[in-house]
Amino acid sequence: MGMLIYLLPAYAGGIDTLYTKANEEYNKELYTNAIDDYLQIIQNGYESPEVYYNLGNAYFKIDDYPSAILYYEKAKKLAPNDEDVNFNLKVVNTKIVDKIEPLPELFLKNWWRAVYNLFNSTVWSWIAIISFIVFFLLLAFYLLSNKIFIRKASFYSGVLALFITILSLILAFEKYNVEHNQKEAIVFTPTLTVKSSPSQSSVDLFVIHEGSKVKIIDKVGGWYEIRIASGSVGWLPVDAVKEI
Amino acid sequence: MRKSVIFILFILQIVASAANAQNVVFSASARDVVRTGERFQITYTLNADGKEFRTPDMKDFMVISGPHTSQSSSIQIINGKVSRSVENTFTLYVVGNKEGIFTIPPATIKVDGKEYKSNELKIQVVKSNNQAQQQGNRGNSNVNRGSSSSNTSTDIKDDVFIRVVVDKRNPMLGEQVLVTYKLYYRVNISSPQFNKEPAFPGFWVNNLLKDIKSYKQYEETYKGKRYNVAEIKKYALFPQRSGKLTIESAEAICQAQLKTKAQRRTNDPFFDSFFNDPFFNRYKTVDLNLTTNPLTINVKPLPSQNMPAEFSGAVGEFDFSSSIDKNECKTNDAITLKFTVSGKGNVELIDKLNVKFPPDFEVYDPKISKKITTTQYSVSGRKTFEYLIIPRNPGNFKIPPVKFSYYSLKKKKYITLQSPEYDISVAKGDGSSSGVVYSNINQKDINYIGTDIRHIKVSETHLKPIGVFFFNSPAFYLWLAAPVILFILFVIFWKKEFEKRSNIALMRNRKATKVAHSRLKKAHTFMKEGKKDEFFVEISQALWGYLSDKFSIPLSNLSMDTVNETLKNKGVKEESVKVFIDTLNNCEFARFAPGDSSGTMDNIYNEAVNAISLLESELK
Repeated sequence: MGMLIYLLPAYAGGIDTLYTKANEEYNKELYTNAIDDYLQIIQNGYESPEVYYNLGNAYFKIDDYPSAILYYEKAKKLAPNDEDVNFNLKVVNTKIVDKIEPLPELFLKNWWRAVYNLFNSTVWSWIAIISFIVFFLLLAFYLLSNKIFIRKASFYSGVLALFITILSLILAFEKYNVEHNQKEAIVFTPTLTVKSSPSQSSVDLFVIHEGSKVKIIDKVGGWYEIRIASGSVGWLPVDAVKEI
Repeated sequence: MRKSVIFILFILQIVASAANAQNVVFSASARDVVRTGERFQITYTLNADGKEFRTPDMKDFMVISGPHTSQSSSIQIINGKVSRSVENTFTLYVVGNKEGIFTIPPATIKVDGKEYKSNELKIQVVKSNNQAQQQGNRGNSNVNRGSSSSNTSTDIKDDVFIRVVVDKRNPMLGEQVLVTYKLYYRVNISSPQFNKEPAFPGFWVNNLLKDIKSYKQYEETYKGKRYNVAEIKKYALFPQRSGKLTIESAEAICQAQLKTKAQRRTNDPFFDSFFNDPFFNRYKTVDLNLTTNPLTINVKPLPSQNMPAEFSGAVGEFDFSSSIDKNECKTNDAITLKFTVSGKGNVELIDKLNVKFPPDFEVYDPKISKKITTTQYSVSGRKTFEYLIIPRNPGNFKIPPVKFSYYSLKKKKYITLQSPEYDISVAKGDGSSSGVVYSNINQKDINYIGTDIRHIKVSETHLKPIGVFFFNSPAFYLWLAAPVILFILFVIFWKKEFEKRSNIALMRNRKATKVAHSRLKKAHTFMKEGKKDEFFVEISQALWGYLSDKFSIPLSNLSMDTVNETLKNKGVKEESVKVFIDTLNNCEFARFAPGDSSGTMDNIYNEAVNAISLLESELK
């Protein structure tokens, strides 16, 4: 790890060229080489939606669908509204075994998700900060100005700025939770029996296959408690899945 | 009665034949009383050659067979006179199903073109009462006398009967019981026909003599008598429940040939001896109803302790084996898994094996083939369960051992046999085909053949370190706190400044009068000294300075107009403003006016003092 950190500055300049090189290899259909290069970027501690997306594409081309899904999901996490990512994810999801019908959700929840997915947590944070600054400026105007019109205008826009600040703080928090705390994983074992409790001898609940996405609820020993999109909950070994 | 009829007929016949050889007699005979369902004979006798025998219309009876024709001719030599007599017999086998007294109308026959009628018959059909005739004598059959002659009844019961023999009376549940139906006979009999096959409720039955063409026959001594014995039926029974099980009685009919005891009584020793010769003995075919008695078998339950969970009722001695055709395959390849149970006992009753297949396998119902072999004494066989399984997805799978349990009669305990565990590794089949299979089978609604993912993004990317979030980072909080801190600082600074400024103004305001007075004082001194220029400067400064201090207006901004406006704004009366302005004007005017100015100075001084004190009072 120390080595890696030591090497970081040396690579930092080369990362962008590595990215271009990988893209060129992809265009020449040298998918495995491209995968190696994309992975090297990630191993060096850098990420971007584009890198994940392109890596997902390369895995798709060599028919490694679970890996493709994993990196598309990673890309989606960074850029939830990227049309290409969503399209390719949809395509690759038709190639896997399981078709899990998601539970219908309350429309309000969908709206809320759509709102916080507009930007990532960093952007939401900046929006909050900027509107906060604007709020104080308006407050100063309000306090300093002798003119009644300016005072009125700055009062109302100040209230609006404060509202925007609070809202985008909440959205940033929500998005940050999704990005940072909400763990999801992709199944990498071809056929995986989900158990009723974290033990091999417990009852078999259902079977999922590689490429399926699960939500991690809890971890006990070498086991994850997971929930699939249809709402079913069970336990599976940690090494059977890879976290997004 | 019958006997006498026969006798009379006989006499008649003899008389007739003696008197006239061609005196045609056509008569019918049958038993007077029969039971329902009992087969009996109706015999028509004709002492001539007849044609066109017509059976009567028998609506109350059912003709089973017949008419059977038999002919016998005899030559009589009586006192040197030779006469030939012919006897034609037509026999019908009939069953009466209804109770009551019925009349059988005459039958007709033609002899030499002339029609003859037989006599009518009255037959009483009574209810059959089998139970009453059965005796508790186990293993011994009852013999119903089915024939016409009463004089045979006592002997025949002992001459022909069926015994049911079991090899054990107290078997375990599922243990084989051998049941043999033995026919004992001392007279000639035909093979018995069962009109009521033996029934074994509560047993699984296996007929051991299914394929046997001829019966096993031997001689046996039973109750001191020598019998021919034929094993006419033999079953292997497997009790299916514990408790008392009954083998129900069976009924059979056979025909026995019995020697008639009727002998002609003649005085001729020669004829007597001749007719008593066995060769000439008359045999009568007699129908016998043979009924076996029901038999109770006490079935003991299997021990309940140590009974394995997989036990499903197999009792006997078994082998259990299994085989798999391949351990490695690709997805969608079929694998055949075979389990075989073989041995002695109730093989056929082994219905299923509990095979736990990995949940992801496609498993079809097993093909069950069985081969049951029966010998004279036992049932053995083999049952094969062939499972066809198709792994649909790649991976490593295990088929856990399959257990088969049976109760061993030899060892008197349960025995569990186990198949080995099978490891199956399934490789991915042809990538293309399996992918197509998936999308075709599972997701028919979308046909993505010909679609592809979108191309990679080749535009420049903004790489950022992994796992670094701005939100919740120190920088974020710093940025968030910055405007607050700045604002607080600003407010503090601004407030201080404000305070400072307002203090200066207040001070100047308060000092304004003082300053003005000290200036006026100075001016007064200058006036006394006659220093004209200094005096006016002082006066002017006192007036202007007063305004400047009082209203915090810089001196440079002051002019006649601003003074006018400011004072008016401050609510100073019009006249007072005018006084002040006049004073300023006079001062300016007097300052630059030539000539003696001592009087003017005095006036100006008084005016200035007056104006300031006027403003002072106004502004209070």
